[in-house]
Amino acid sequence: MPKRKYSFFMSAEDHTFVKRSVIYSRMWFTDIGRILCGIIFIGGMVSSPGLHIDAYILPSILIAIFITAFIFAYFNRPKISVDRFMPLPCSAGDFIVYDVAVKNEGRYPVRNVKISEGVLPYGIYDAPDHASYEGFVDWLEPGEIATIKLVIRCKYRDIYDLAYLLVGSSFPSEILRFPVKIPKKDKLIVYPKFITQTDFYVPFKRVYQPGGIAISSNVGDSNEFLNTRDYRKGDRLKDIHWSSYARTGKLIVKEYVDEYFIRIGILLDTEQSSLWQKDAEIFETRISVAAGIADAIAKKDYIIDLFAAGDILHHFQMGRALAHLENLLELLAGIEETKNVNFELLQDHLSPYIKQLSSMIILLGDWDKRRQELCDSIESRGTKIRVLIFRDKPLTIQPDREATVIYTKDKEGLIR
Amino acid sequence: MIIDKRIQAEIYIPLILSWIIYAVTQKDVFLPGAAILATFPSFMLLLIRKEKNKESKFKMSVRNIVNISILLSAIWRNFVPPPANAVAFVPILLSAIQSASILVAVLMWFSFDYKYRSYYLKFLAWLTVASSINVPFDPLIQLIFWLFCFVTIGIIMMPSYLPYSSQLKEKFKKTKHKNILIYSYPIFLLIISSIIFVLLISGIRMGDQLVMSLITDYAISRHFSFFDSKLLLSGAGNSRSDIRPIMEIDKKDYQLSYLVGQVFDTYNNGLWEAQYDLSLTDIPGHRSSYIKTLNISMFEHLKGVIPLPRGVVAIEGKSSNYQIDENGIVINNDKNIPKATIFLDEDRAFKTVKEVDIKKYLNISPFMKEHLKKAIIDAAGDGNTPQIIAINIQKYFTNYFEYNLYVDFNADDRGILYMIYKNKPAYCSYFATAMVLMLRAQGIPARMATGFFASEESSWNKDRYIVRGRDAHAWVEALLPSINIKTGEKIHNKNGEQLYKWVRFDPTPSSSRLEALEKDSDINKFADWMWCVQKRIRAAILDIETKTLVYLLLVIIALLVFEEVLKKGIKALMKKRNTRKEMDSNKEDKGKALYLMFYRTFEDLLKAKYDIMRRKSETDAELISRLESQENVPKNIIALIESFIARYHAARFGFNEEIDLSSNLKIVEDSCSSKEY
Repeated sequence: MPKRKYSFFMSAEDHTFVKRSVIYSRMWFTDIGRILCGIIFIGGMVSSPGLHIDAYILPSILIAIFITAFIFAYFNRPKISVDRFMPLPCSAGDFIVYDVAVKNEGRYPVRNVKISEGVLPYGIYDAPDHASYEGFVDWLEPGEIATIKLVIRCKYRDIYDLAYLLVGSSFPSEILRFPVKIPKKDKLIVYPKFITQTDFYVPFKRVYQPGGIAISSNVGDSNEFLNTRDYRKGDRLKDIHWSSYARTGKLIVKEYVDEYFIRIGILLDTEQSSLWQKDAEIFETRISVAAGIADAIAKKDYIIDLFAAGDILHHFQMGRALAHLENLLELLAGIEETKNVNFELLQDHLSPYIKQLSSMIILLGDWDKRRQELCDSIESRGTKIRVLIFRDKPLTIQPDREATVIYTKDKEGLIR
Repeated sequence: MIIDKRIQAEIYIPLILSWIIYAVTQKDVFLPGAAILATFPSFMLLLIRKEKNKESKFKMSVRNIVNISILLSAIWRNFVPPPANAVAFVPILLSAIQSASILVAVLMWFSFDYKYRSYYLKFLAWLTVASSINVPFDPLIQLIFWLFCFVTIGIIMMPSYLPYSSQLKEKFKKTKHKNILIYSYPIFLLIISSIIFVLLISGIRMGDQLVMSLITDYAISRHFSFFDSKLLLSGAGNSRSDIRPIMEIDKKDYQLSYLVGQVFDTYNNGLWEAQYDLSLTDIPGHRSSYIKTLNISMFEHLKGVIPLPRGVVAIEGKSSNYQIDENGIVINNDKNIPKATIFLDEDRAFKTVKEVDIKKYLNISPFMKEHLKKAIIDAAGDGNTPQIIAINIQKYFTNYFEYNLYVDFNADDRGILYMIYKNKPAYCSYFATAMVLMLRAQGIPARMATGFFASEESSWNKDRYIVRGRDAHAWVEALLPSINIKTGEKIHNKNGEQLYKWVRFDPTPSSSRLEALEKDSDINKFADWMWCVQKRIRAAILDIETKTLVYLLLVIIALLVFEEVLKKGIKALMKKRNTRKEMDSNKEDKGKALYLMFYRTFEDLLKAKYDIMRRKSETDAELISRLESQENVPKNIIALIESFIARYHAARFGFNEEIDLSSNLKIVEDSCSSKEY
């Protein structure tokens, strides 16, 4: 998800103040501590008519106990080191469950320790109510290591920095902890949420790639013999060199100079006119569909060129062992929205690649003159295109060619 | 006891105690009694049963439980109202919450999801207590309340000393001798919490007094009743508890403590009336010949009247609209009169009888003249001159009467006579009225003056008096022939006319007056200090000349600009220092350091010409593409920049020493400066 600017209307959990308050209230106070805080507040209200009634004594006692507990919690700060074990990246909308190793570095046993992530960046959230969440350690002897499980709800795709963990012990007061910040930097990659577009139709033709494609290790489609090598899973049966098999007893395949490929470009329009949640969702849909299409095409032994048009043109190539879907998803995870895409500049940037592409799938946010010119320019160079427009309101102008208009409500479906 | 049973007991005991607190504070035994009767058997069953407790089959959502309970409680408290000594802003709401907290607890005890039950029930026990103690504590309530506190806090801390799991219990047994904290905490909790509690309670009490004093004595907007054109005798005592500061004045001598604000000349059966159509004369801003000076700070606007001692000849201050009326009252209608210096010369107040309308100062009803005769004989004694008669009457009142702010007789002629003949205690305006009437009955012109009597030393400055609303006072002014004190001869003017002077007499018994005032208005020193500080600051700010204010503002702006410049300077200096450091660290590779310097110059150039800075972690390619998107950067310059960056990279990282970065950078610089672009 692009870095959202502050808006009062965003959901409460996205407000940093709310996030910070929730995390720190959980870290500072135990369950009963929070109850007592509420009672201080209620007691204060009840005693507000004046001191001629003795209701003020209860909040006073509780405040006195809290101050004492604070002093003790401060001197009883746990000396602990922590280490996260981050699992593989997950998709937006998933929960990520990971282990944290906790080691007591102090001379005394530490008790009733709670471990939590610090204030998480926009898009990911602490999930203490998750069934797998185990953020407590009852007892930790000096030097002892325990493993706990923390859970993060990943709402939006992005590459997040996890900066620090908070550790606090409620012993001996059982009402209050003094959270200690332990810096621990880790990266959390959240891929875009997508469904593989298995039914997606792409018009294509094989295109001659002069000199082949660097790094591509798959056998090519030309008849110019290059070499033989061991059989790898996925190689075509027709390329097996049977005589070598007879001689060596293991499968050997013939390798050709790889010069003819089906190379499909995916152009992603990253323009997002406003910061409204609705526009952000449409942008997310474009990214999800791009990921879904890339996944479907990657399985068909094609080369995929992904172009993300923004202030900087991101170009990424995958398929035929050039790179894996994970790498593409990683790139998509980090793509940010652009307020105004310069389509003229984009044409210039694309021109070196267009001729080598069999076809191009263009995912747009609207249809207007700028976009029309871009499509014209691509088509004029002989590359077939398929246009997908993602929109929740009428298009600026009606498309002069065949284009699939997808409304956001259809985002979960398959595109034909 | 298995863990589950222990948890149940930890929940149930505070609940029972909280219900008892409700019963004794709200005088409602039935509801908590019913709750105990309903829950106790099930609690006992939980303790006796050997197998683990099962979840209840009777389920109800929290919302339903709360709604039903509040509804039932509201009905219930209609029949069992809160006790008379209970206090709340919305009594019916609080009493409904009190009872509802018990009902919710009972329903939850039987129905609620087992997992969350303990959390809610713990809260409900505390809620019942917090909401039910809106009454003054008697010993029984105190006993149960403290028992509840000790028991619940003990239960909260118990897992630290008596862990639930047997494994932890074993660990605890093995290690507790090592950890001093385990033993120290309960003792320290008791000691430190008690100290903090006592401090808190004292603080709350002091804070409460302070706030209440600030609100009731100072902040609540009240109309100042001073200097209305009419004065009813009965209304003069209203300012007795008004401790709001009105002004501060230099402490000089006793004579200057009488600050006159109004003069009443017409009296009619308990009602004094002042002349309102008096001609006004401007007061000069400075006077070369004077006897005394006084500095004043005004805190309040009293209908334009500035209460000052007699004999004002000039006033120097920010405001120039000071005027004086025929009766010698100083007026200034400016809303904000901060500070002023008063020049005094009492000797200039001499008048001839021609100048004074004596008739109105001798006006007295025949009824009063007749009935005062006997009292005058007692009071005036054998006095044969107006001076001696006046002094004797004043002494009569000060010696034989007492001051009291609460008067229990009529505020009219008959009331005055009753006061005189029955030696009844009264306050200043009664004494002043009585004396004026007695003097008028004797043919001595007299009038009543009102204002303030400054007697309280300012806590801020010992050389000043602070004048409050309660210092409002009334006294008598009699028109007497002027006499030379040394020779005893009458004073005449150049034309040989006898000169007269308004002489002040105060018939109010002063010692008992001060006592009565102190008794009647208690001043919270801290609240008073806070209020006076803000008044003094306001007066000080208002006193600053506009010109000075503008200068002050300019100085602040200059300081802010200077700070900004200084910050930028420091930043530039730090950047240079860092570059030097970097260069020093690369001493071995002088070329590298040199290239770095070129690059910094290039960055400065970009900043100066196009206001573009390389962002953190921005690559050169990204920088170029950003430059391309900028409208104010010509394409030729971008090409040159691109070439420079390429050469810089080749030189620094490609170790190509032949590249002349200096001339390349110069080309970029020249191109940027050239007007063609």
